[in-house]
Amino acid sequence: MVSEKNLVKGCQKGKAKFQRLLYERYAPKMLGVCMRYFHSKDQAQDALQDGFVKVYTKIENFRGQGSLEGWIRRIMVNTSLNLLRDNLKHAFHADVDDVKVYIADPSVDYDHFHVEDIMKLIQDLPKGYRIIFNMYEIDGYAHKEIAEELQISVNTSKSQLLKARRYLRKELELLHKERHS
Amino acid sequence: MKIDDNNIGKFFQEQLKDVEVQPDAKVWSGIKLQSGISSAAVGVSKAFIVGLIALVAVTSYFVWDYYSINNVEEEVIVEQNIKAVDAPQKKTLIANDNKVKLEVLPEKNDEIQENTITKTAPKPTPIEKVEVVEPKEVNKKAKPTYAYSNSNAVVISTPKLEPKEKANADVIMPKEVNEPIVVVNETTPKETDAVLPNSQDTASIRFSSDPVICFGEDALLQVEGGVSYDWNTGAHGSKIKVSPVENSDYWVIVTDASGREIKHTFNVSIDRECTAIFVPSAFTPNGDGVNDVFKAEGLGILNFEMIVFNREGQIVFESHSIEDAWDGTYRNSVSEPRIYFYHLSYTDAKGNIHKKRGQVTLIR
Repeated sequence: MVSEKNLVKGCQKGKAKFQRLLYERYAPKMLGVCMRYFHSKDQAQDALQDGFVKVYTKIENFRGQGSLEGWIRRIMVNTSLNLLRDNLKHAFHADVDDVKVYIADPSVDYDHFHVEDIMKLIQDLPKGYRIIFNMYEIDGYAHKEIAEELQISVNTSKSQLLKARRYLRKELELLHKERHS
Repeated sequence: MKIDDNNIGKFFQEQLKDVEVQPDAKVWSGIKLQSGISSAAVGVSKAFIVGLIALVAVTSYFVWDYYSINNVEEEVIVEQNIKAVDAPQKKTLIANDNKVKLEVLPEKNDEIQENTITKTAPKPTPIEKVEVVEPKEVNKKAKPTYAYSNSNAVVISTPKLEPKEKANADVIMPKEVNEPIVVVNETTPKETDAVLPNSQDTASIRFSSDPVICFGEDALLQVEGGVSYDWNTGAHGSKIKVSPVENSDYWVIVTDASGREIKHTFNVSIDRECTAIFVPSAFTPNGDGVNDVFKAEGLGILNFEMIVFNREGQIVFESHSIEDAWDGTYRNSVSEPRIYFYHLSYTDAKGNIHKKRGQVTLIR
């Protein structure tokens, strides 16, 4: 197996073999990242494609500080955000109704959910919720960073996260009911 | 564990952080086309391998030939050697052509491919297959099967993102060639007034500024005032159009009303950075008569070749003349309003070959 260092070197020299190897090694995981940010696999694959083109262009500047995977991941998240950026402002102001009055059903727990159901819940989230939930909960961005990245206030980021959580909980419980009725 | 608003984030993180989804083959085709990665190193096509073997065989034959007669006659060797280089090159080209054709039409294979979601787990667990309901937008022709291993949500820690470094991740797009620059500057004659010997009588004669043009472009040289003109090109008009391929001087002798003669030299210089080709970045095939087609514009362009392809790498338009225009259709229907990519090559007026890659947005 080609080491990460050699992989980077090969790509920096623009060698097709290493570019292909890099893709094979990271594409499935990175599509997993992009999938969370988009409603459909097709859109996620568009982001993946653009992301890898960026990776090959930018790899010259990769100096091996931090992991290669972390670096590629950031590019993927960034590319996804760029593609989602159209009308992004409105996404954070459209509140989804009927969330507030919902009362949690205490009988539901986390067992027996499939990964693909969970992925689909994320993908079906309203765009604003989806972006902030992903960035904060899964990709580890802080509210301040999210606010800077999306040009919104820290408070918007926080309140959208709370709403997204509530929304997801409701969806999980609905899914649970669907499966057990 | 019961669901509540505080632990829901952690639950999703554990479940989705390291999910892997197998991309369709079209993604790699698209990346290759967009980044200009050659398919040689990853080639699997039979035609390519056959071509390679042929190349090796032919080359080694000539190399052997070369060495075997090396000591006898030098002049003959040179000739043989040239042939050796010529012959295998042709073979590679043919092989590569086949390769390209095979590579860029992957759409059928894609639909057969299975989409797999795998949750990475340290311990191997039995894999079971499940059918899931497709998201609405996904192609309904092929119902993908998801395979997953049902791990007990072991978190594989991946380093936290450091978004400060994210700013570096902008794509560098190929530089656009600007519209041909205006070569004649008639409106600001003050800067370009020739120094005239007897200003009283000849002050009314003005000359256009020295133009800078791209390869293959025309330059307009213009005189205002005066009654007759003698150009070194043999022309006699008040303005002439010239198309030099290297920096050139043109001069004109202008006679004014009083019979006085003034000589002025125009220096036409070629901007070696630019080539006279312009490719628009968007078009609107809606039949309104404005920008309905996509085509490159250029002067003095020879051997023009262009392909336009979509994200999936399918060639939607192919052209061998700069006059050909794409009307936005593919297989007799109007293409989706998306970004398309083009690769083009041409020979400029000086005989240099240029290649250009870029993207064009179809707007409806």
